[in-house]
Amino acid sequence: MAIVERSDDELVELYMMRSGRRVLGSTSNTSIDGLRSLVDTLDSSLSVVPESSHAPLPSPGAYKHNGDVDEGILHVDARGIVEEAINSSLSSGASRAAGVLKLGLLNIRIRTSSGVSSEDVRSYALLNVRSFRDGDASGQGLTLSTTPRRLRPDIAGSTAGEYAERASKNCEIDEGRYNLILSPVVVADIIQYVGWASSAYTVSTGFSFLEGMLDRSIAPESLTIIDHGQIVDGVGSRMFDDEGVPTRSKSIVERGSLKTYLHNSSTAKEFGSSTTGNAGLIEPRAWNLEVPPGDSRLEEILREAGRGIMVTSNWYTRFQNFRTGEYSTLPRDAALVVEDGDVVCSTRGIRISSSIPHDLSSIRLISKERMWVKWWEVETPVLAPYILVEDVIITKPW
Amino acid sequence: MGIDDTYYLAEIAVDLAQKAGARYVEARLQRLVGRTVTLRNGVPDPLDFYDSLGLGIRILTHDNVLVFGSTNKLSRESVEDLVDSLSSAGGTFRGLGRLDGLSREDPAIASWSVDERRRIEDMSLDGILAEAHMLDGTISDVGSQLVNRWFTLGSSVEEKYILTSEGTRITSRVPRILVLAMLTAHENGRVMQRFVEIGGSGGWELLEVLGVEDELRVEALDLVEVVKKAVGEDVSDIDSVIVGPEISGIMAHESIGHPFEADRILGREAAQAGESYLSRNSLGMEMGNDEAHVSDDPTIPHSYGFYLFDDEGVRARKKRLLLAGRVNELLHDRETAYVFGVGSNASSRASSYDREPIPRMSNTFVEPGDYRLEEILEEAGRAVLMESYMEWNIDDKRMNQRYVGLKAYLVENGERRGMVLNPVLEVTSDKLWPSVVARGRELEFSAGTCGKGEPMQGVPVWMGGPYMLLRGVKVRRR
Repeated sequence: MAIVERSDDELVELYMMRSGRRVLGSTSNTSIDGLRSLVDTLDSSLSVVPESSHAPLPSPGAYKHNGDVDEGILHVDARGIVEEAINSSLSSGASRAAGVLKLGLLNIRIRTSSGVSSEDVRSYALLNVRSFRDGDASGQGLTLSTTPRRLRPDIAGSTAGEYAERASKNCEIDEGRYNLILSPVVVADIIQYVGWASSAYTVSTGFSFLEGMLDRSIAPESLTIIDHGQIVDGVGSRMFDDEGVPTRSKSIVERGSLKTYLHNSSTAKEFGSSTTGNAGLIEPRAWNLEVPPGDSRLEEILREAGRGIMVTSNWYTRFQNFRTGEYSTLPRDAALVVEDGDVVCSTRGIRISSSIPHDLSSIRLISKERMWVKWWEVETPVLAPYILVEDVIITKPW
Repeated sequence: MGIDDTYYLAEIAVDLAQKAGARYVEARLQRLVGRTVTLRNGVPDPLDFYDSLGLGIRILTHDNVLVFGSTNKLSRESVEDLVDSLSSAGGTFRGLGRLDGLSREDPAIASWSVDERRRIEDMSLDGILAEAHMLDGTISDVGSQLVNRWFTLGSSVEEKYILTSEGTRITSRVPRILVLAMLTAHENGRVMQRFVEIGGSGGWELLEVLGVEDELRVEALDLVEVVKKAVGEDVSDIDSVIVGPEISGIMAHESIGHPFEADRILGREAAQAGESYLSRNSLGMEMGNDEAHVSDDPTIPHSYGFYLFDDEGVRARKKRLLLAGRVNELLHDRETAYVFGVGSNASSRASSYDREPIPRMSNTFVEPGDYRLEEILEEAGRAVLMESYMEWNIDDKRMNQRYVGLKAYLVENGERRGMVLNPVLEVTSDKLWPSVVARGRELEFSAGTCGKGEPMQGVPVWMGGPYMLLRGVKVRRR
């Protein structure tokens, strides 16, 4: 089964502010009439809405594109990339493979009444491969970049195929507390929630497990989390945020300590802080998150884990309580049972039941190896290592 | 520009694709217009207006490749470009995947809409703000334990025009209301949260029809009661669980609705939302006892997942998915129906003009039974009653699932005793449905936005059921 999709869309977002009153609108009708209609709608609304906390739109800054874009991305041999991934998967142990290749070109223009006028062009290439073998055994492989020239469909396919083969050596484990070796795919899921919880809007709505934690230790000193406005291969890169502030790199977590929330001008005013160049007009958000490499090789981490589980992928993370960060998530694909550095089998039907503050504070080792992750479960791109987290609860259904 | 000003573009798309040799063409113009008010602890965020209109085109090429494309540049030239590029993309991918046809369905010519007593567009902005503040106020009045409120009131109108090369021509209009609230309560160092989602199809009268004000007040009171009273009761000896309508509904959705989507069974979602515990040969398979009945019905008045024709132009009807414990019917679009050798049951939905229509749920629910709630409580013996939940998830084959209760009670001798803190029901689908021994008479629904597809498509659904007694399942605490 194959489906080919193509979309070509334009959208205009308009933010209007007058006398402390603010409204926001968007339209896909970018004709003069369509824009006039949007302006009229918002303008008439301004007289109705109440005043709210706000900050003036920022003045223009110095914008510099990092040059990481491939404007020819839509003309590559997409079929060739897909076939290479499938063939690599099948030759690495899979009996069948599924997946998605996404190629896109994004043109963003901004103009504000405070004098900002700029344009940004970005490209993305995302390939997700899932391989299957012997019914329930499966594995996942990812590759992503800002250009298909740096995609590695061969590695994504072979990784998925090899994990599927390993997953076919199934074994049962008991419920209990385990040391988990989280693969970059799983680390990215957790880190994206740290990015979300660091948004000042998330904090102000009572959703954040990072509320009240500024300048406090939330993880060992080995953990730093950086948000990059622009970074090579970061498919969330932007030169300016939605208020026209130049984006930049900043540490959200530095040596284990929470250093900043992410702000736009309005949340910065609300929190008595400064914008971090992360607007969202309503909600500040992370662009590309990076966990810098640790000191350990993956083999060392596997040895240090003792009896542990290497979780290669996960899905369906849901929270019992956003404020405390209590969640559960389901390992999927290969979940490799490790004993003294050796993978002895793969287990199924397990669930991680934990909290993100526990996970962060229980990090023991971080790998030198890293990869970019963004896929169906991870919306914010994350450059993630393998991480050894100690003493995490694993449950199973009855 | 109204959607009817763009109908001619659908005609152009169908004509051009047919001339290019397409075996089947479906052009869908879809517009979504809406307004959302968000209050943070009673203070409004900027009002949000949105208006999207575009054209989605699906073509089964003469090479038997299924291609889908969309644009919101609504001109003859951009539609011509889109059809050209889709036709050539079909050629490029010839042989990589193949679809030999679509199920045969009678072409439909229809115009349908949801009844509105108070049209969505007729409510003034003043009126919407006043409603939002009034509803938010019902939460804030509950008590000082409620320390955080995030509240939204959204209204939207979705219009479609569907035209196919087989002669189907359908216009529709669905107005909707959606209320979301996240409540946070504190008491003696304990913090607990509740997410509330109430939605339906209709005009502003829905606020009354759905009892939004009362429900928000009850939810807020319940959360305060939970944060004050829930205790870590030992429930490890218990093997009977009563789930309320909210939980029987999410069970129907996650454990029956999703795995019964025929495209998942065929592997269409394998790398994203996953596959299914069912196979192509599962019709008739026993997976529950006689009390296990789950249906999907898009035609329920006021429902959030309401429609009368699906996005392939097939007339909607109720589907009895699980009938007396047996797999009775899957959710099909014309693509999967062809592969299975059956007719479509009108389950094809697209969340937006730029999304391909695929098999989806609408309003999925456990059918009501014969029991009064008091009888179920009596029948249960020593049991845990789980009325609401926060955390839930299920594996990507839809077997291993978990529901963590929020408002929950210990039940003994037919009566609710104390409140239980965070009870966890973690069970597999093949144990869940055989464990159903009694169903209540009253059917209640909750609203949700169901995610599936790549790119992601969130579609409005209802999930529902009665109180349901499960026997032989274990429960523990988080």
